[in-house]
Amino acid sequence: MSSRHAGFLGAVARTGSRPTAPAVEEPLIVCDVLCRWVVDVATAALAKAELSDEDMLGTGCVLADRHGTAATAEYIVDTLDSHGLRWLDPRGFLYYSPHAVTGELCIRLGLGGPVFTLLGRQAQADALGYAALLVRTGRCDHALVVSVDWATEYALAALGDVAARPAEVVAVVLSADRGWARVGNWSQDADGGQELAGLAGWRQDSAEHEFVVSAGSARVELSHVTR
Amino acid sequence: MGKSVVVGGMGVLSPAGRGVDALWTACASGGANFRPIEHFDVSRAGATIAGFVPVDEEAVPPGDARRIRHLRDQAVAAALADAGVGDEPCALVLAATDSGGCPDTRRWRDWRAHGRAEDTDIAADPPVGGPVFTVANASAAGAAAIAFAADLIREAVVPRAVVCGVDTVTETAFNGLASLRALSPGGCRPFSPDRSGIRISECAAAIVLREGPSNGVAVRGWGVSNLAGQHARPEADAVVAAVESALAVAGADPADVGYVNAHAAGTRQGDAAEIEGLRRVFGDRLGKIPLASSKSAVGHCQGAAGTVEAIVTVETLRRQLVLPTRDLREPDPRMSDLNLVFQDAEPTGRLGLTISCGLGGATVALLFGVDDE
Repeated sequence: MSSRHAGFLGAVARTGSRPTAPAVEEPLIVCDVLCRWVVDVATAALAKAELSDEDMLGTGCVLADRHGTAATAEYIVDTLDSHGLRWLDPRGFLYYSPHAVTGELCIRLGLGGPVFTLLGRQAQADALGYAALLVRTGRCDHALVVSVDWATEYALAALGDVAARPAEVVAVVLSADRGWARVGNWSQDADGGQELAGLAGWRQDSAEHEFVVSAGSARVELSHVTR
Repeated sequence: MGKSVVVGGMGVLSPAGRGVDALWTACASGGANFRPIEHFDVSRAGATIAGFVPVDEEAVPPGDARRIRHLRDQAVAAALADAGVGDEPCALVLAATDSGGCPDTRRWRDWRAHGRAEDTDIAADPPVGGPVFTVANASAAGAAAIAFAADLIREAVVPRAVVCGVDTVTETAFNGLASLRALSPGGCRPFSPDRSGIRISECAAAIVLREGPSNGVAVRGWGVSNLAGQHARPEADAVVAAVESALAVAGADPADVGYVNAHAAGTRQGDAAEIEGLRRVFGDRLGKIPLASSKSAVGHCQGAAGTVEAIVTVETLRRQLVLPTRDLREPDPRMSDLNLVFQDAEPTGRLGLTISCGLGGATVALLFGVDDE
């Protein structure tokens, strides 16, 4: 399968520092640490892309999550075992679903376009490919793509799709009508390429005119726009 | 103009049992499998009952980490068989509400105690050979997955996909909802003045979507929005945006809509916000459109809610029969002007609309219509 539909890459932002690893004792760690971090990275990408407040109403979001909110579920079990249900902070459950991080972005940034949360090993490449489809088909003028990796120790031990890797957030902005690289050829026959974070090191003036984002079996191709 | 996206087949394992007919019968006359939770302690949760799929409860019981994939595989197999899909390439679009890790509390405790852990990812060992995607837009995930799959087909990314919403009753989600006081001890009572929250259920609901044309039901439009001011409060604005987007994709007018399967989970603010949003889109005409909820019949199926309610919407169009909301006797006076369907009725227009909402502001509208192309 493949899609040749394209959007244009406007900006990339990547985490500058590694945040505290998830700790299951803290009910709001996803809210207080991860969501702030994600909003900061996304805000930086949107600023680089020079989107206005009005543009935000026409901006969608596709977030790729690899167990970013697992810490909340572990907090719930830990609290049930140690203190009981009465001690469960009800605010914690608001950050249980992976979509909580996506929702936080929409609430803080006022994103008005279509919004999706994807999970799994290949989600970051699929998020980029699907976001390109959204802008190319006119479902939104701009799309924010965010990749979130924040696995707990348990997730690293238990889940086959999580490799030992640093916590990381990457944000990318795609637009229908502006940007310095074309995004397209989303396919499910990955053969080589780099993770989304690699885009942060690929520049408009780099000698390499093409870049391939690959994750799991998914692949998306980018190429410099010829002026 | 993209390709037409049609419903090729459906399969469901719900608290009503196995199959679409069992689901329809439970919506019509009740009888779904609601019973006390036994696989974790609920003595302090305020609610003790959930909906369970009455299939293989001994072989793969609730609380067994394999159950979610077991239900997934059976629903997908049933939908593929119904669609007549054999060895052809088919994408799998899963819908779920959590990250698939810790909700298996027994294994988490085993890992804490002994360092042993096993893979609990719902996407592992998929029952199809094609690409696998997992959409996780909270309780709207099932409907968002249909919108996602419809986009892939309409834009020729894949020729067909089986969408499967699936969730089980987990200790983490149940107690988390209990801490939010979102669970109703008396069950889900949408549109009632004494509605007090949700009742969750396990469910696996699968729909095969493919390129048209057909003589059946097609996905006409879909809209996904997330306009929210805070995580727990649903917004009418989001419903308006999602429905208007779905109508635009369908090239339809509000007057074309003849049936609404509402999200209507039975929460005080959620039902009110949804109705306010619908009033803004449909105006006075809303009072003429049959508007019902399936959740009092089968519970809130979490990640599968959007797909199981899409199946009810498709069946409503196929049978040209709108079933009443189960156990609704006296509506909220603020909704007394609506057509809340107290006896069997017919759709009043060619399109059926289903709405799904979730924590974090997730809101999805899907429009189905009989494919006459």
